[in-house]
Amino acid sequence: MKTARALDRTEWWRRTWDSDSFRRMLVFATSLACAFLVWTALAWWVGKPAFLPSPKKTLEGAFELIENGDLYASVIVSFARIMIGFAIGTLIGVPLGLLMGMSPFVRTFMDPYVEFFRFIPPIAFVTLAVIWFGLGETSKIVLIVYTTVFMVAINTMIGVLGVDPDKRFAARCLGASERQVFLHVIIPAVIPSIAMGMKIAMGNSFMTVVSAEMVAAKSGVGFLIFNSRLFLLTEWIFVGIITLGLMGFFTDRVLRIVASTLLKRYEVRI
Amino acid sequence: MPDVEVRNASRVFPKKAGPDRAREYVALKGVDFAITPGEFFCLLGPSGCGKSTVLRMIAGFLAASSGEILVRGQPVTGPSVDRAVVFQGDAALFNWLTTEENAEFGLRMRGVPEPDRRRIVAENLRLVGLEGFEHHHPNQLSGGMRQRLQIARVLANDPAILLMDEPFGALDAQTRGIMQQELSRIWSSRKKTVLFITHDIDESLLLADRVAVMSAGPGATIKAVFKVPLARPRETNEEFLRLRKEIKAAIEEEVMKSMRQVNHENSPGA
Repeated sequence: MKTARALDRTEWWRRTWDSDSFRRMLVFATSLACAFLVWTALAWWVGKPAFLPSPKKTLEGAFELIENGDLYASVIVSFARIMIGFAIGTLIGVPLGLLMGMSPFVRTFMDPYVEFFRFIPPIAFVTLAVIWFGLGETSKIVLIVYTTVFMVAINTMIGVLGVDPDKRFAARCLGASERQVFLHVIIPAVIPSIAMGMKIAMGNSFMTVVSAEMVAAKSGVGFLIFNSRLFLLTEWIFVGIITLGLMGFFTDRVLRIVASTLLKRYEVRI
Repeated sequence: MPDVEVRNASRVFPKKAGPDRAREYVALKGVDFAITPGEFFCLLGPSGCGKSTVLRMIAGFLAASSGEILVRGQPVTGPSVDRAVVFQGDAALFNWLTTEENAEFGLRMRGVPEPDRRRIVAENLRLVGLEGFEHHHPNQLSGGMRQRLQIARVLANDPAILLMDEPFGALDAQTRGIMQQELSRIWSSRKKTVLFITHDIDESLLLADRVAVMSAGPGATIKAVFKVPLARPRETNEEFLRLRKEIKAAIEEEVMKSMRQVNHENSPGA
């Protein structure tokens, strides 16, 4: 009895050890440990916490910011701006992109604007947004809407243009009307492109919100990072940066999980 | 009255590139043939001669530049459910739908009630040998199965005329052989009018009642029409070989012509 169980356990260990996901986790953990070691060594070697705070010091800074509620408030504020702007931008960008893809007139009409604004990053509009919309929430949300609309619309348009003509033809000779072709062929075929546009837009939204908060805001993670400089609290800057990375990481994970479950049949790969 | 009648049809394409882009390219000139109800008609020709263009004009995806295309006495104005197309590539399948949903597409678009749809789809999937794969997506099927699905999808709609554009062109030799036998069997049980496009002489002789050989472009036309008075299922007997030799002679001349054409166009100073 006892030996059988011991065998089972060895067998379990062997299988776990051989499994791909376990190997991946192991590499992942090793990678994190390496970063931690390098960081600790560098901080010890530099020896100036105001220049390069150690992991321990940064963790203390994180606890301070968690305790006084600043970190939580900053994360919520930045996330809210991103999510609202991202949602509004997607709601505008998808129909606009579909229209651009479907109508050569709209595509040609929009083309000069697309080619012009393509080279202007949202950060360039920060000061203008503040003049027009003030220091409040509106200016940040408008900037995120701008970057999202752009990315989502262009990707959606490219998706529409990339739908194989045979798919439309097949649907037409199977008895679908033009309207049915749009609803039952074009839209499902374009979903992967829309998802790709949203993924890129999400990354851009993070960049936009942080730069806007650094230039003109009294809250948010960008503000936290920029403001900490005044007090030479370098470990708070570190906390802000790490927080941003984690926020992005988790948002991306959520998008991926949504894509691989709800949108599985559309073969979304993001 | 013939099911399909092509009368002196031509098709001209605008040239998009090259030094003589102002000129037009005359793809087809004076194409003339008729297909009787229930006939299996093969269009055979060297690649690039415009076989697919003929099919697309009959399907209603493309208008003739001059001449007339009549389907059951009526001029073609666009795609219709009485003419179903089986495409060469599997891009025509809807990859976000399962096998069953793909086969159901035409019925669903036309508003056929659910219980009827289920029955018709099951019947046709059985006919093409796809039972057991109802819930697979196209990318989970083999190339041969995907072409079976295309056939089931159009048969579910019960069209009078089947237009098949090199449906087995992308399959390996063994699968192609099986598919040819299967198609012959399906055609015998359903008695549709078929226009089948291929560049494979043996394929045309295995399947068709009549084989039309097209000349090489530009200005491609029907060069000769051969009757295939062989009993089905067909085998490579003496009569078959004699016909093959005859058709081969006709088509080889055209292949040579089209190769000279390409060389001429590519040579400097041409």
